[in-house]
Amino acid sequence: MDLTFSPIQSFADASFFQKLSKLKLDSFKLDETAKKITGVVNIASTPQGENPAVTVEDSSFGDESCGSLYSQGAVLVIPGHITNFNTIEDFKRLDKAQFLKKAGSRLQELMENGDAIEDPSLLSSFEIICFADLKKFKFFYWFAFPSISSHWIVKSTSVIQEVSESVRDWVKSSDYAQRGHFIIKDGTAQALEQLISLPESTTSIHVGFVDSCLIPNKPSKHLQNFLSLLSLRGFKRVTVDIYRISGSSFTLELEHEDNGGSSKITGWERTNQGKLGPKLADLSALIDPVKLAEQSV
Amino acid sequence: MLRSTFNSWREYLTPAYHTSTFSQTGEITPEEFVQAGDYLTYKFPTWQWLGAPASKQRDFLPTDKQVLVTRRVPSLVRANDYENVAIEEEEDADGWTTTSGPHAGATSGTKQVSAQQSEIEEIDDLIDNTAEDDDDDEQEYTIQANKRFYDLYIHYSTAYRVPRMYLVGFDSNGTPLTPEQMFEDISEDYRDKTVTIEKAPFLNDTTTVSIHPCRHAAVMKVLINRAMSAARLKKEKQDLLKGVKNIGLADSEDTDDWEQLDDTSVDDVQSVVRVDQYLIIFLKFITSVTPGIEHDYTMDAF
Repeated sequence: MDLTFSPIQSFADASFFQKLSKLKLDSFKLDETAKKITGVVNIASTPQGENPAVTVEDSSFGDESCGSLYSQGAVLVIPGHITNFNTIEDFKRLDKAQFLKKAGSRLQELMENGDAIEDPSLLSSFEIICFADLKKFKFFYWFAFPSISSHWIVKSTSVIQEVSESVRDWVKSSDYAQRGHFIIKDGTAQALEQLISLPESTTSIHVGFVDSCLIPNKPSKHLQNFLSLLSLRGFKRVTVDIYRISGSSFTLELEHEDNGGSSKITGWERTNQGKLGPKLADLSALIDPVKLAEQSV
Repeated sequence: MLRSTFNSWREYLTPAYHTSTFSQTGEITPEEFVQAGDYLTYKFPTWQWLGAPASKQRDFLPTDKQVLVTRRVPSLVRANDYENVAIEEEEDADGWTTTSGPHAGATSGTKQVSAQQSEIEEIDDLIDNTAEDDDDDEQEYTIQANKRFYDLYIHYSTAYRVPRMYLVGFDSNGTPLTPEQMFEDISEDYRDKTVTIEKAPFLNDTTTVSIHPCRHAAVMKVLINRAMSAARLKKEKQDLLKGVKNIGLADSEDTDDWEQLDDTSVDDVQSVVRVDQYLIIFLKFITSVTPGIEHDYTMDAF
Protein backbone atom coordinates (compact mmCIF):
# COMPACT_ATOMS: atom_id res chain seq x y z
CA MET A 1 0.00 0.00 0.00
CA ASP A 2 1.27 3.47 -0.91
CA LEU A 3 1.52 5.99 1.87
CA THR A 4 -0.82 8.95 1.37
CA PHE A 5 -1.22 12.19 3.28
CA SER A 6 -3.96 14.54 4.46
CA PRO A 7 -3.72 17.94 2.72
CA ILE A 8 -3.04 20.97 4.89
CA GLN A 9 -5.58 23.74 5.21
CA SER A 10 -4.77 27.34 6.06
CA PHE A 11 -6.72 29.51 8.46
CA ALA A 12 -6.07 33.25 8.52
CA ASP A 13 -7.37 35.21 11.49
CA ALA A 14 -8.71 38.70 10.91
CA SER A 15 -5.99 39.96 13.26
CA PHE A 16 -3.39 38.70 10.78
CA PHE A 17 -4.70 40.96 8.03
CA GLN A 18 -5.06 43.88 10.44
CA LYS A 19 -1.42 43.56 11.40
CA LEU A 20 -0.40 43.14 7.77
CA SER A 21 -2.22 46.37 6.85
CA LYS A 22 -0.41 48.23 9.61
CA LEU A 23 2.98 46.85 8.60
CA LYS A 24 2.34 47.59 4.93
CA LEU A 25 1.61 51.23 5.78
CA ASP A 26 4.31 51.74 8.41
CA SER A 27 7.25 49.58 7.47
CA PHE A 28 6.99 47.39 4.34
CA LYS A 29 5.60 50.20 2.19
CA LEU A 30 6.52 49.30 -1.41
CA ASP A 31 8.94 46.54 -0.42
CA GLU A 32 7.93 43.35 -2.24
CA THR A 33 10.55 41.02 -0.76
CA ALA A 34 9.60 37.96 1.32
CA LYS A 35 9.20 38.64 5.04
CA LYS A 36 9.66 36.06 7.77
CA ILE A 37 6.56 35.04 9.68
CA THR A 38 5.42 32.08 11.78
CA GLY A 39 2.32 29.92 11.82
CA VAL A 40 0.65 27.85 14.51
CA VAL A 41 -0.32 24.19 14.19
CA ASN A 42 -2.67 22.85 16.84
CA ILE A 43 -1.68 19.40 18.03
CA ALA A 44 -3.65 19.03 21.26
CA SER A 45 -7.01 20.31 20.08
CA THR A 46 -7.53 18.68 16.68
CA PRO A 47 -11.11 18.05 15.57
CA GLN A 48 -12.15 14.55 14.48
CA GLY A 49 -11.99 13.96 10.74
CA GLU A 50 -10.67 17.42 9.79
CA ASN A 51 -7.57 18.10 7.73
CA PRO A 52 -4.45 19.41 9.45
CA ALA A 53 -4.44 23.19 9.72
CA VAL A 54 -1.93 26.01 9.80
CA THR A 55 -3.18 29.21 11.43
CA VAL A 56 -1.71 32.67 11.02
CA GLU A 57 -2.63 35.47 13.42
CA ASP A 58 -1.29 38.87 14.45
CA SER A 59 1.49 37.33 16.50
CA SER A 60 2.70 35.57 13.33
CA PHE A 61 4.68 38.73 12.55
CA GLY A 62 6.38 38.82 15.96
CA ASP A 63 9.71 37.20 16.71
CA GLU A 64 9.02 34.99 19.68
CA SER A 65 5.54 35.71 20.92
CA CYS A 66 3.77 33.38 18.51
CA GLY A 67 2.61 30.35 20.44
CA SER A 68 3.39 31.82 23.86
CA LEU A 69 -0.29 32.13 24.76
CA TYR A 70 -1.04 28.46 24.24
CA SER A 71 -0.87 25.83 26.96
CA GLN A 72 2.27 23.81 27.21
CA GLY A 73 2.56 21.30 24.39
CA ALA A 74 -0.65 22.38 22.66
CA VAL A 75 0.87 23.66 19.42
CA LEU A 76 3.78 23.58 17.00
CA VAL A 77 5.15 26.88 15.71
CA ILE A 78 6.42 26.68 12.14
CA PRO A 79 8.39 29.15 10.03
CA GLY A 80 7.12 30.79 6.87
CA HIS A 81 7.38 33.78 4.55
CA ILE A 82 4.94 36.30 3.22
CA THR A 83 5.51 38.05 -0.08
CA ASN A 84 3.24 41.05 -0.40
CA PHE A 85 2.68 42.53 -3.85
CA ASN A 86 1.87 46.18 -4.47
CA THR A 87 -0.68 45.63 -7.22
CA ILE A 88 -3.05 42.88 -8.25
CA GLU A 89 -1.23 42.82 -11.61
CA ASP A 90 2.08 42.02 -9.88
CA PHE A 91 0.32 39.26 -7.99
CA LYS A 92 -1.13 37.92 -11.23
CA ARG A 93 2.08 38.19 -13.19
CA LEU A 94 4.11 36.13 -10.71
CA ASP A 95 5.05 32.78 -12.26
CA LYS A 96 3.43 30.56 -9.62
CA ALA A 97 5.01 27.32 -10.87
CA GLN A 98 8.44 28.91 -10.78
CA PHE A 99 7.84 30.40 -7.34
CA LEU A 100 6.94 26.98 -5.94
CA LYS A 101 9.89 25.26 -7.63
CA LYS A 102 12.24 27.81 -6.10
CA ALA A 103 10.75 27.28 -2.64
CA GLY A 104 11.12 23.53 -3.18
CA SER A 105 14.75 23.70 -4.20
CA ARG A 106 15.53 25.99 -1.25
CA LEU A 107 14.01 23.33 0.97
CA GLN A 108 16.05 20.62 -0.72
CA GLU A 109 19.18 22.66 -0.07
CA LEU A 110 18.29 22.91 3.63
CA MET A 111 17.91 19.12 3.69
CA GLU A 112 21.24 18.58 1.99
CA ASN A 113 23.32 21.08 3.96
CA GLY A 114 21.96 19.79 7.28
CA ASP A 115 20.10 22.93 8.37
CA ALA A 116 16.80 21.05 8.30
CA ILE A 117 18.31 18.39 10.56
CA GLU A 118 19.39 20.96 13.12
CA ASP A 119 16.03 22.76 12.88
CA PRO A 120 13.46 20.22 11.65
CA SER A 121 10.63 22.76 11.87
CA LEU A 122 12.01 24.05 8.54
CA LEU A 123 10.52 20.89 7.01
CA SER A 124 7.06 22.32 7.71
CA SER A 125 7.73 25.81 6.38
CA PHE A 126 5.12 27.64 4.30
CA GLU A 127 4.84 30.55 1.86
CA ILE A 128 2.11 33.14 1.43
CA ILE A 129 1.73 35.42 -1.55
CA CYS A 130 -0.62 38.32 -0.99
CA PHE A 131 -2.10 41.47 -2.41
CA ALA A 132 -3.70 43.81 0.12
CA ASP A 133 -6.26 46.29 -1.17
CA LEU A 134 -6.15 48.59 1.83
CA LYS A 135 -8.82 50.98 0.58
CA LYS A 136 -11.42 48.25 0.31
CA PHE A 137 -10.09 46.02 3.11
CA LYS A 138 -9.76 43.15 0.67
CA PHE A 139 -6.92 40.65 0.78
CA PHE A 140 -6.05 38.22 -1.99
CA TYR A 141 -3.80 35.55 -0.56
CA TRP A 142 -2.48 32.14 -1.47
CA PHE A 143 -0.72 29.66 0.78
CA ALA A 144 1.86 27.16 -0.38
CA PHE A 145 3.20 24.29 1.73
CA PRO A 146 6.19 23.34 -0.43
CA SER A 147 6.49 19.58 -0.41
CA ILE A 148 9.06 17.31 -2.01
CA SER A 149 7.74 13.87 -2.89
CA SER A 150 9.38 10.54 -2.20
CA HIS A 151 7.76 7.19 -2.67
CA TRP A 152 7.12 4.93 0.34
CA ILE A 153 5.28 1.64 0.72
CA VAL A 154 3.48 0.87 3.98
CA LYS A 155 4.66 -2.57 5.11
CA SER A 156 2.62 -2.62 8.26
CA THR A 157 0.64 -0.44 10.64
CA SER A 158 0.26 -1.02 14.35
CA VAL A 159 -1.43 0.88 17.15
CA ILE A 160 0.74 2.39 19.88
CA GLN A 161 -0.93 1.27 23.08
CA GLU A 162 0.79 3.71 25.35
CA VAL A 163 2.94 6.69 24.43
CA SER A 164 6.13 6.61 26.46
CA GLU A 165 6.86 9.18 29.15
CA SER A 166 9.94 10.34 27.28
CA VAL A 167 7.99 11.14 24.13
CA ARG A 168 5.24 12.91 26.07
CA ASP A 169 7.84 15.07 27.81
CA TRP A 170 9.48 15.79 24.47
CA VAL A 171 6.24 17.02 22.90
CA LYS A 172 5.47 19.09 25.97
CA SER A 173 8.74 20.76 26.67
CA SER A 174 11.22 20.63 23.79
CA ASP A 175 11.45 23.87 21.85
CA TYR A 176 9.38 24.48 18.75
CA ALA A 177 12.23 23.82 16.33
CA GLN A 178 12.64 20.24 17.59
CA ARG A 179 9.16 19.36 18.80
CA GLY A 180 7.55 17.86 15.69
CA HIS A 181 10.32 15.60 14.36
CA PHE A 182 12.71 13.47 16.37
CA ILE A 183 14.60 10.19 16.61
CA ILE A 184 13.54 7.34 18.84
CA LYS A 185 16.50 5.50 20.32
CA ASP A 186 16.25 2.96 23.13
CA GLY A 187 12.64 3.99 23.65
CA THR A 188 13.45 7.64 24.28
CA ALA A 189 13.00 10.72 22.11
CA GLN A 190 16.20 12.42 20.95
CA ALA A 191 17.07 15.37 18.75
CA LEU A 192 17.13 14.73 15.00
CA GLU A 193 20.71 16.04 14.93
CA GLN A 194 21.81 12.58 16.02
CA LEU A 195 21.26 11.49 12.41
CA ILE A 196 24.58 13.07 11.53
CA SER A 197 26.58 10.94 13.94
CA LEU A 198 25.19 7.64 12.59
CA PRO A 199 27.55 5.48 10.52
CA GLU A 200 27.12 6.16 6.82
CA SER A 201 26.07 2.62 6.03
CA THR A 202 22.95 2.86 8.23
CA THR A 203 19.84 2.39 6.10
CA SER A 204 17.12 1.94 8.68
CA ILE A 205 15.93 4.28 11.39
CA HIS A 206 13.19 4.78 13.99
CA VAL A 207 11.70 8.28 14.14
CA GLY A 208 8.80 10.12 15.75
CA PHE A 209 6.45 12.61 14.10
CA VAL A 210 3.83 14.72 15.89
CA ASP A 211 0.69 14.70 13.79
CA SER A 212 -1.90 17.46 13.60
CA CYS A 213 -4.88 15.54 12.25
CA LEU A 214 -6.92 12.54 13.33
CA ILE A 215 -7.74 11.07 9.91
CA PRO A 216 -7.20 7.28 10.03
CA ASN A 217 -4.02 6.13 8.27
CA LYS A 218 -3.47 9.49 6.58
CA PRO A 219 -0.97 11.57 8.50
CA SER A 220 -0.54 15.27 7.78
CA LYS A 221 1.19 16.22 4.52
CA HIS A 222 3.91 17.69 6.76
CA LEU A 223 5.26 14.16 7.15
CA GLN A 224 6.19 14.02 3.47
CA ASN A 225 9.18 16.36 3.72
CA PHE A 226 10.44 14.48 6.76
CA LEU A 227 10.43 11.23 4.77
CA SER A 228 12.06 12.91 1.79
CA LEU A 229 14.82 14.14 4.07
CA LEU A 230 15.36 10.59 5.30
CA SER A 231 15.39 9.19 1.77
CA LEU A 232 17.84 11.91 0.71
CA ARG A 233 20.08 10.80 3.59
CA GLY A 234 20.07 7.26 2.26
CA PHE A 235 17.56 5.59 4.55
CA LYS A 236 15.60 2.77 2.92
CA ARG A 237 13.54 1.43 5.82
CA VAL A 238 11.89 3.79 8.24
CA THR A 239 9.81 3.04 11.32
CA VAL A 240 7.82 6.16 12.07
CA ASP A 241 5.71 6.64 15.17
CA ILE A 242 2.82 8.96 14.39
CA TYR A 243 1.86 10.76 17.61
CA ARG A 244 -1.65 12.08 17.94
CA ILE A 245 -2.27 13.80 21.24
CA SER A 246 -6.06 13.72 21.04
CA GLY A 247 -6.40 10.44 19.14
CA SER A 248 -4.78 7.06 18.87
CA SER A 249 -1.12 7.04 17.88
CA PHE A 250 0.30 4.42 15.53
CA THR A 251 3.49 3.07 14.02
CA LEU A 252 4.15 2.81 10.29
CA GLU A 253 6.78 0.45 8.89
CA LEU A 254 7.83 2.06 5.62
CA GLU A 255 10.05 0.97 2.79
CA HIS A 256 11.41 3.39 0.25
CA GLU A 257 10.64 2.51 -3.34
CA ASP A 258 12.92 3.98 -5.94
CA ASN A 259 10.70 4.50 -8.94
CA GLY A 260 13.41 6.14 -11.00
CA GLY A 261 11.58 9.41 -11.60
CA SER A 262 12.72 12.65 -10.10
CA SER A 263 10.82 13.94 -7.09
CA LYS A 264 7.89 16.31 -7.59
CA ILE A 265 7.41 19.61 -5.85
CA THR A 266 3.84 20.44 -4.93
CA GLY A 267 2.10 22.47 -2.27
CA TRP A 268 -0.15 25.29 -3.51
CA GLU A 269 -3.26 25.17 -1.41
CA ARG A 270 -6.49 24.58 -3.31
CA THR A 271 -9.62 26.65 -2.80
CA ASN A 272 -12.85 25.23 -1.42
CA GLN A 273 -13.78 24.56 -5.05
CA GLY A 274 -10.73 22.34 -5.41
CA LYS A 275 -9.08 24.83 -7.76
CA LEU A 276 -5.53 26.12 -7.84
CA GLY A 277 -6.13 29.74 -7.03
CA PRO A 278 -5.91 32.35 -4.28
CA LYS A 279 -8.48 33.05 -1.60
CA LEU A 280 -10.12 36.35 -0.94
CA ALA A 281 -10.70 37.73 2.53
CA ASP A 282 -13.14 40.62 2.43
CA LEU A 283 -12.76 42.19 5.84
CA SER A 284 -14.62 45.40 5.13
CA ALA A 285 -17.38 44.30 7.48
CA LEU A 286 -14.90 43.34 10.18
CA ILE A 287 -12.40 46.19 10.18
CA ASP A 288 -13.82 49.06 8.16
CA PRO A 289 -14.64 51.53 10.94
CA VAL A 290 -17.64 52.94 9.07
CA LYS A 291 -19.24 49.55 8.62
CA LEU A 292 -18.49 48.53 12.19
CA ALA A 293 -20.32 51.59 13.46
CA GLU A 294 -23.37 50.72 11.33
CA GLN A 295 -23.54 47.18 12.65
CA SER A 296 -23.25 47.93 16.32
CA VAL A 297 -26.25 50.25 16.48
CA MET B 1 -20.07 50.55 19.35
CA LEU B 2 -21.12 52.76 22.23
CA ARG B 3 -22.88 50.05 24.09
CA SER B 4 -19.93 47.81 23.63
CA THR B 5 -17.57 50.45 25.02
CA PHE B 6 -19.85 50.98 27.96
CA ASN B 7 -19.91 47.26 28.60
CA SER B 8 -16.16 46.92 28.51
CA TRP B 9 -15.95 49.78 31.03
CA ARG B 10 -18.40 48.00 33.22
CA GLU B 11 -16.39 44.81 32.92
CA TYR B 12 -13.34 46.81 33.88
CA LEU B 13 -14.91 48.58 36.84
CA THR B 14 -16.76 45.67 38.40
CA PRO B 15 -14.53 43.92 40.88
CA ALA B 16 -14.49 40.13 40.97
CA TYR B 17 -16.39 38.60 43.88
CA HIS B 18 -15.11 35.42 45.38
CA THR B 19 -17.97 33.90 47.42
CA SER B 20 -19.47 30.74 45.96
CA THR B 21 -23.20 30.89 45.28
CA PHE B 22 -23.56 28.87 42.11
CA SER B 23 -26.33 26.52 43.18
CA GLN B 24 -28.54 29.37 44.48
CA THR B 25 -27.83 32.04 41.87
CA GLY B 26 -26.35 30.31 38.82
CA GLU B 27 -23.33 32.61 39.13
CA ILE B 28 -19.72 31.54 39.65
CA THR B 29 -16.56 33.12 41.02
CA PRO B 30 -13.30 33.41 39.03
CA GLU B 31 -11.86 30.53 41.10
CA GLU B 32 -14.85 28.38 40.20
CA PHE B 33 -14.44 29.39 36.55
CA VAL B 34 -10.87 28.06 36.65
CA GLN B 35 -12.01 24.90 38.43
CA ALA B 36 -14.77 24.32 35.89
CA GLY B 37 -12.37 25.10 33.03
CA ASP B 38 -9.86 22.56 34.31
CA TYR B 39 -12.58 19.95 34.39
CA LEU B 40 -13.79 20.85 30.90
CA THR B 41 -10.29 20.63 29.38
CA TYR B 42 -9.76 17.33 31.19
CA LYS B 43 -13.02 15.80 29.98
CA PHE B 44 -12.89 17.34 26.50
CA PRO B 45 -9.31 17.81 25.33
CA THR B 46 -10.54 19.80 22.31
CA TRP B 47 -11.02 22.60 24.85
CA GLN B 48 -7.79 24.28 25.88
CA TRP B 49 -6.78 27.10 28.20
CA LEU B 50 -5.26 30.13 26.55
CA GLY B 51 -3.29 33.07 27.89
CA ALA B 52 -4.02 36.65 26.82
CA PRO B 53 -1.71 39.32 25.36
CA ALA B 54 -0.02 41.32 28.15
CA SER B 55 -2.29 44.34 27.72
CA LYS B 56 -5.41 42.20 28.09
CA GLN B 57 -4.43 40.10 31.09
CA ARG B 58 -6.80 39.95 34.04
CA ASP B 59 -5.03 39.60 37.34
CA PHE B 60 -7.73 37.58 39.11
CA LEU B 61 -7.15 34.67 36.72
CA PRO B 62 -3.90 32.69 36.31
CA THR B 63 -1.83 34.10 33.39
CA ASP B 64 -2.03 30.85 31.45
CA LYS B 65 -5.76 30.41 32.13
CA GLN B 66 -7.35 33.62 30.90
CA VAL B 67 -9.83 32.16 28.45
CA LEU B 68 -10.96 28.77 27.16
CA VAL B 69 -10.86 27.96 23.47
CA THR B 70 -11.81 25.21 21.07
CA ARG B 71 -10.85 25.71 17.46
CA ARG B 72 -12.21 24.83 14.06
CA VAL B 73 -15.48 23.40 15.26
CA PRO B 74 -17.30 22.40 12.07
CA SER B 75 -20.70 23.75 11.15
CA LEU B 76 -22.38 22.16 8.16
CA VAL B 77 -25.90 23.57 8.47
CA ARG B 78 -27.02 27.15 9.09
CA ALA B 79 -29.22 27.74 12.14
CA ASN B 80 -32.28 28.59 10.00
CA ASP B 81 -32.06 25.39 8.01
CA TYR B 82 -31.40 23.41 11.15
CA GLU B 83 -34.48 24.77 12.88
CA ASN B 84 -36.69 24.10 9.90
CA VAL B 85 -35.62 20.52 9.70
CA ALA B 86 -36.54 20.15 13.34
CA ILE B 87 -39.91 21.86 12.98
CA GLU B 88 -41.06 19.51 10.24
CA GLU B 89 -41.16 16.63 12.64
CA GLU B 90 -42.80 18.45 15.50
CA GLU B 91 -46.32 17.61 16.57
CA ASP B 92 -48.54 19.73 18.76
CA ALA B 93 -50.55 18.45 21.71
CA ASP B 94 -53.41 17.19 19.57
CA GLY B 95 -51.15 15.28 17.26
CA TRP B 96 -51.22 17.85 14.42
CA THR B 97 -47.97 18.30 12.64
CA THR B 98 -46.94 21.93 12.56
CA THR B 99 -46.10 23.08 9.06
CA SER B 100 -44.66 26.52 9.69
CA GLY B 101 -42.12 27.64 7.11
CA PRO B 102 -40.07 24.58 6.23
CA HIS B 103 -38.81 26.36 3.11
CA ALA B 104 -37.78 29.66 4.59
CA GLY B 105 -34.27 28.46 5.21
CA ALA B 106 -33.59 27.71 1.58
CA THR B 107 -33.44 31.40 0.68
CA SER B 108 -30.66 32.30 3.07
CA GLY B 109 -28.02 30.77 0.87
CA THR B 110 -29.08 32.21 -2.47
CA LYS B 111 -29.08 35.83 -1.33
CA GLN B 112 -25.43 35.59 -0.49
CA VAL B 113 -24.52 34.07 -3.79
CA SER B 114 -25.64 37.03 -5.87
CA ALA B 115 -23.82 39.49 -3.63
CA GLN B 116 -20.63 37.53 -3.99
CA GLN B 117 -20.94 37.07 -7.73
CA SER B 118 -18.56 39.87 -8.67
CA GLU B 119 -16.02 38.72 -6.11
CA ILE B 120 -16.14 35.23 -7.53
CA GLU B 121 -15.45 36.52 -11.04
CA GLU B 122 -12.59 38.58 -9.69
CA ILE B 123 -11.03 35.62 -7.95
CA ASP B 124 -11.72 33.17 -10.78
CA ASP B 125 -9.59 35.41 -12.92
CA LEU B 126 -6.62 34.54 -10.71
CA ILE B 127 -6.88 30.76 -10.97
CA ASP B 128 -3.70 29.22 -12.31
CA ASN B 129 -3.99 25.56 -13.20
CA THR B 130 -0.36 25.35 -14.22
CA ALA B 131 0.91 26.38 -10.80
CA GLU B 132 2.08 22.86 -10.00
CA ASP B 133 2.28 19.27 -11.21
CA ASP B 134 -0.45 16.86 -10.23
CA ASP B 135 -0.34 16.06 -6.58
CA ASP B 136 -1.13 12.42 -5.94
CA ASP B 137 -2.75 13.23 -2.60
CA GLU B 138 -5.26 15.76 -3.87
CA GLN B 139 -7.02 13.75 -6.54
CA GLU B 140 -10.16 13.23 -4.53
CA TYR B 141 -10.88 16.71 -3.35
CA THR B 142 -14.22 16.84 -1.61
CA ILE B 143 -16.02 20.10 -2.12
CA GLN B 144 -17.89 21.36 0.91
CA ALA B 145 -18.32 25.01 0.12
CA ASN B 146 -21.08 25.39 2.73
CA LYS B 147 -18.94 24.16 5.55
CA ARG B 148 -17.85 26.66 8.16
CA PHE B 149 -15.52 26.52 11.11
CA TYR B 150 -15.80 28.27 14.45
CA ASP B 151 -13.31 29.15 17.12
CA LEU B 152 -15.30 29.26 20.36
CA TYR B 153 -13.99 31.21 23.33
CA ILE B 154 -15.31 31.18 26.89
CA HIS B 155 -14.35 34.26 28.86
CA TYR B 156 -15.31 35.20 32.43
CA SER B 157 -17.65 38.15 32.81
CA THR B 158 -17.11 40.00 36.07
CA ALA B 159 -20.18 42.18 35.50
CA TYR B 160 -22.50 39.18 35.40
CA ARG B 161 -20.32 36.63 37.24
CA VAL B 162 -20.91 34.02 34.53
CA PRO B 163 -18.95 32.61 31.59
CA ARG B 164 -19.44 34.45 28.34
CA MET B 165 -19.18 32.90 24.89
CA TYR B 166 -17.46 34.59 21.93
CA LEU B 167 -17.56 33.11 18.42
CA VAL B 168 -15.11 33.67 15.57
CA GLY B 169 -16.15 32.09 12.28
CA PHE B 170 -14.32 31.02 9.12
CA ASP B 171 -15.69 29.87 5.79
CA SER B 172 -14.62 26.64 4.11
CA ASN B 173 -11.54 28.47 2.77
CA GLY B 174 -10.37 29.34 6.27
CA THR B 175 -11.18 33.00 5.61
CA PRO B 176 -12.87 35.10 8.34
CA LEU B 177 -16.67 35.40 8.21
CA THR B 178 -18.41 38.74 8.56
CA PRO B 179 -20.60 39.30 11.65
CA GLU B 180 -23.64 39.16 9.36
CA GLN B 181 -22.61 35.69 8.18
CA MET B 182 -21.93 34.56 11.73
CA PHE B 183 -25.43 35.64 12.73
CA GLU B 184 -26.76 32.97 10.36
CA ASP B 185 -25.46 30.41 12.83
CA ILE B 186 -27.34 31.85 15.79
CA SER B 187 -30.77 30.45 16.53
CA GLU B 188 -33.55 32.84 15.56
CA ASP B 189 -34.81 33.08 19.14
CA TYR B 190 -31.58 34.69 20.24
CA ARG B 191 -30.40 36.45 17.08
CA ASP B 192 -32.00 39.83 17.63
CA LYS B 193 -32.01 39.86 21.39
CA THR B 194 -28.94 38.61 23.13
CA VAL B 195 -26.26 38.36 20.49
CA THR B 196 -23.98 41.33 19.87
CA ILE B 197 -20.95 42.17 17.73
CA GLU B 198 -17.93 42.71 19.96
CA LYS B 199 -14.20 43.10 19.78
CA ALA B 200 -12.79 40.14 21.70
CA PRO B 201 -11.50 41.53 25.01
CA PHE B 202 -8.78 38.85 25.16
CA LEU B 203 -7.45 39.06 21.58
CA ASN B 204 -5.96 41.78 19.41
CA ASP B 205 -8.17 43.15 16.64
CA THR B 206 -10.63 40.31 16.44
CA THR B 207 -14.30 40.96 15.83
CA THR B 208 -16.58 38.33 17.28
CA VAL B 209 -20.24 37.72 17.83
CA SER B 210 -20.95 37.20 21.49
CA ILE B 211 -23.87 35.81 23.39
CA HIS B 212 -24.71 38.48 25.91
CA PRO B 213 -24.56 37.12 29.46
CA CYS B 214 -27.39 39.16 31.00
CA ARG B 215 -29.69 36.11 31.24
CA HIS B 216 -27.05 33.42 31.72
CA ALA B 217 -27.31 33.23 35.53
CA ALA B 218 -31.07 32.73 35.44
CA VAL B 219 -30.84 30.09 32.72
CA MET B 220 -27.98 28.33 34.46
CA LYS B 221 -29.91 28.28 37.73
CA VAL B 222 -32.82 26.56 36.02
CA LEU B 223 -30.53 24.07 34.29
CA ILE B 224 -28.62 23.30 37.48
CA ASN B 225 -31.85 22.74 39.38
CA ARG B 226 -33.12 20.52 36.61
CA ALA B 227 -29.90 18.53 36.66
CA MET B 228 -30.16 18.25 40.42
CA SER B 229 -33.71 16.92 40.39
CA ALA B 230 -32.78 14.53 37.58
CA ALA B 231 -29.91 13.33 39.73
CA ARG B 232 -32.22 13.03 42.72
CA LEU B 233 -34.68 10.95 40.71
CA LYS B 234 -31.89 8.73 39.46
CA LYS B 235 -30.67 8.26 42.98
CA GLU B 236 -34.15 7.37 44.25
CA LYS B 237 -34.52 4.86 41.46
CA GLN B 238 -31.18 3.31 42.31
CA ASP B 239 -32.10 3.19 45.96
CA LEU B 240 -35.35 1.51 45.12
CA LEU B 241 -33.54 -1.06 42.99
CA LYS B 242 -31.06 -1.64 45.74
CA GLY B 243 -33.94 -2.12 48.14
CA VAL B 244 -35.52 -4.71 45.88
CA LYS B 245 -32.25 -6.53 45.55
CA ASN B 246 -31.76 -6.46 49.26
CA ILE B 247 -35.07 -8.15 49.84
CA GLY B 248 -33.94 -11.01 47.64
CA LEU B 249 -30.46 -11.33 49.08
CA ALA B 250 -31.10 -11.60 52.77
CA ASP B 251 -27.63 -12.68 53.78
CA SER B 252 -25.45 -10.07 52.03
CA GLU B 253 -24.08 -7.01 53.82
CA ASP B 254 -27.34 -5.24 53.31
CA THR B 255 -28.00 -3.93 56.77
CA ASP B 256 -25.36 -1.25 56.35
CA ASP B 257 -26.83 -0.24 53.04
CA TRP B 258 -30.25 0.27 54.51
CA GLU B 259 -28.88 2.57 57.12
CA GLN B 260 -27.10 4.62 54.49
CA LEU B 261 -30.20 4.87 52.41
CA ASP B 262 -32.11 6.52 55.18
CA ASP B 263 -29.31 9.02 55.43
CA THR B 264 -29.70 10.36 51.89
CA SER B 265 -29.25 13.96 52.91
CA VAL B 266 -29.62 17.24 51.07
CA ASP B 267 -25.84 17.42 51.02
CA ASP B 268 -25.63 14.31 48.95
CA VAL B 269 -27.95 15.55 46.28
CA GLN B 270 -26.27 18.92 46.01
CA SER B 271 -22.87 17.38 45.68
CA VAL B 272 -24.21 15.49 42.65
CA VAL B 273 -23.97 18.70 40.64
CA ARG B 274 -20.49 19.99 41.33
CA VAL B 275 -19.31 23.44 40.38
CA ASP B 276 -16.62 22.01 38.12
CA GLN B 277 -19.39 20.61 35.91
CA TYR B 278 -20.77 24.11 35.45
CA LEU B 279 -19.21 24.72 32.03
CA ILE B 280 -20.49 21.44 30.66
CA ILE B 281 -24.03 22.49 31.57
CA PHE B 282 -23.24 25.91 30.11
CA LEU B 283 -22.21 24.35 26.79
CA LYS B 284 -25.45 22.41 26.60
CA PHE B 285 -27.26 25.73 26.91
CA ILE B 286 -25.03 27.30 24.23
CA THR B 287 -25.94 24.46 21.90
CA SER B 288 -29.52 25.70 21.85
CA VAL B 289 -28.25 29.13 20.78
CA THR B 290 -25.96 27.80 18.05
CA PRO B 291 -27.62 24.55 16.94
CA GLY B 292 -25.53 24.11 13.78
CA ILE B 293 -22.10 24.33 15.44
CA GLU B 294 -21.10 20.82 16.25
CA HIS B 295 -18.93 21.15 19.31
CA ASP B 296 -18.65 18.13 21.51
CA TYR B 297 -21.27 18.63 24.21
CA THR B 298 -22.39 15.03 24.19
CA MET B 299 -20.96 13.83 27.46
CA ASP B 300 -23.28 13.38 30.38
CA ALA B 301 -21.87 15.51 33.14
CA PHE B 302 -23.16 13.28 35.92
